[in-house]
Amino acid sequence: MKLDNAALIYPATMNRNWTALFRLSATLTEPIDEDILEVALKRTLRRLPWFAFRLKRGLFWFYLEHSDALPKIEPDVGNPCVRMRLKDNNGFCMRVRFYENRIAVEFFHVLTDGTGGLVFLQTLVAEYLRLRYNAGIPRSNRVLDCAEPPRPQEAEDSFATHSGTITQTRREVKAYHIKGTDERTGFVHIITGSMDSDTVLKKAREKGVTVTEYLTAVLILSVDAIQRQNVAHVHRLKPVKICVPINLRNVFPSETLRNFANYVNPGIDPRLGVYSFDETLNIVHHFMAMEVTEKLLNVKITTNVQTERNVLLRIMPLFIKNAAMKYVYSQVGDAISSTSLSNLGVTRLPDEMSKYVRRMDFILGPLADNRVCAAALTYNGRLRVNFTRTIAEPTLEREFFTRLIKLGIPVKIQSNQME
Amino acid sequence: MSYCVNCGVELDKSEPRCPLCGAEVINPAAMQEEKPARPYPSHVEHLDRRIDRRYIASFVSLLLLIPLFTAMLTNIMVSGKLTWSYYVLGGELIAFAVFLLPMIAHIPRILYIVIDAGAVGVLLLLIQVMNSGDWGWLLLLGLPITGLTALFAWFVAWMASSSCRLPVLVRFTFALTALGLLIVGIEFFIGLYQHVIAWPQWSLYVLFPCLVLGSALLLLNRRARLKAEIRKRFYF
Repeated sequence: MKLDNAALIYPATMNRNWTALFRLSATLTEPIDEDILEVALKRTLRRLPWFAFRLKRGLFWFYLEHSDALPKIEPDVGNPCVRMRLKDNNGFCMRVRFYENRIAVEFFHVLTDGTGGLVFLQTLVAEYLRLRYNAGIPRSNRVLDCAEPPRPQEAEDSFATHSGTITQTRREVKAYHIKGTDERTGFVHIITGSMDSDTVLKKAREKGVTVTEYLTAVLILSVDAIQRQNVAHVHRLKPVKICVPINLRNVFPSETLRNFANYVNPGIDPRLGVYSFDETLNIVHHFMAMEVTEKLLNVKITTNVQTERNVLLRIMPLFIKNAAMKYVYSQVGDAISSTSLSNLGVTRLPDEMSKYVRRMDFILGPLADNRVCAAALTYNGRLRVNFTRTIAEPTLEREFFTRLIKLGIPVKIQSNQME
Repeated sequence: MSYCVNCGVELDKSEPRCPLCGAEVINPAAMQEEKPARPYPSHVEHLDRRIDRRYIASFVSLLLLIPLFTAMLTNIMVSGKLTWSYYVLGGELIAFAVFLLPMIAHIPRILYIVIDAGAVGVLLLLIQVMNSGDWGWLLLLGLPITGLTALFAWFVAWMASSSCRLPVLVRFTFALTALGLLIVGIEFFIGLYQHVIAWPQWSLYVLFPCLVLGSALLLLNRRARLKAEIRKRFYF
């Protein structure tokens, strides 16, 4: 199977110590039974075969090949989302991990995006609960029925379907990056801030914005504060921009479970002065209103799809193509944003299922150049923001969460720090 | 229920200290309580260490012996003695000294340049011996130019190193001047070999642009604002 348009960049940019990953996990009420989990995984993969794909290297492109084997189920580790070595992983682009009550699935971005991953996890957990507790869970398009055959439209490359003719440049002003001390051992720090979702929603509604916009504005000001502490000269200040992924399924009709997301980079230019919270909210809100439209997203999709269709690029051997894509990514990838905030929104499970599922988390793997990033998911009345960090200093997390507290949102913190 | 006294966040019961600021959690009310399990296991998956370059370099060094022996054997079988295979020996010596040696052993910069120059010298010597012409070629042309280039390499390496405290633009000025002088030196030795000692000619075409560019950089170095602007533009 061909990689979808957005997936093309990930194998090209991966290296020995970095893979573009994200992780979704569900915490149940009782400890996980590994054997039942394996059977559930087998059944889920029968329904969703495009997750049991191996990444292969062709002469011109990477491609995916189905495998009948099962991806590894392994005990969780203290540093989730640490790079995935495909060779050790039997070539699979995902791995299932468990720890006490928690089932976690880590996906290489080449397979799917957060939305597709969430459908996979929900189906896997539903299947597990059915086998473990004999729970009768109503199936839908979010929790799939494993007795049904796979549907081809779930594997379509929706980028190609929805591309138009007008393109634009990807170039943007480079943004400020948070610097810190390297973690030499490759430890990935996770800090989870859990909030009451109604409180956050109320605060956001008061300002007339969405929760994502609210959190993005707080994050922008946090990065801004850090930059002002570290950069003495006003002229040297760089724009602070946050990469916010957009689920394109909300904009374009699509049933795909592979990648179908794009991003926008709302931000401020700190050289112009100190921004107040309301100002920043206003900028983020209107920026999103302008950028997250069918027309502009279509232009962005088209730009990427046209590149893929470029004859010159197509006939280039893979290794040259990889080098070219690495270069482009270094220019217009992480460089144009200070950090990422991916919000998967509110997840609702059927009642028969939610009584067994206490908590759900969404964690982004470390990014290529940006050392800190954040992912959020709301479940069961709790909004959890997970920060992923590959430097030693938790400056951004501290700035972000203390800001939320000053705004009147109590935050509860959990982390993977070692004792 | 504990709060960080420093950050004001509520901390999960399993946290031994605040993950945001490192402040220890001391809750007198919960001293006796047993800590719940940590949210993540203590087992950590480590990243690979660096590739073992030393091992690979030693291996490649051994592999280099194969073409050398093949060449020598062929040479002996065809002409009965070692002749042209000395070139292979010299070439491989240079390849070893330049690329493989720094991977195998950590040697100081100055020693590395000396060894490289020595390897080139050995190759030149072999060429000289093979061709048994007049020794002027080696002594007046080959070795002096090798030595001069090594000196230049050492100077540039020193300028590029972090131990050099000069401003970057001044370092470029010096490096450019050194380049100009190197070319003049080469012309001088070519002249010496041809027994003509004359005022430098073609090398001046290199020297003057180098000097002009160098002085421009020196002037630039004195303008702080312009320098800041350039640093911004060349930010990487």
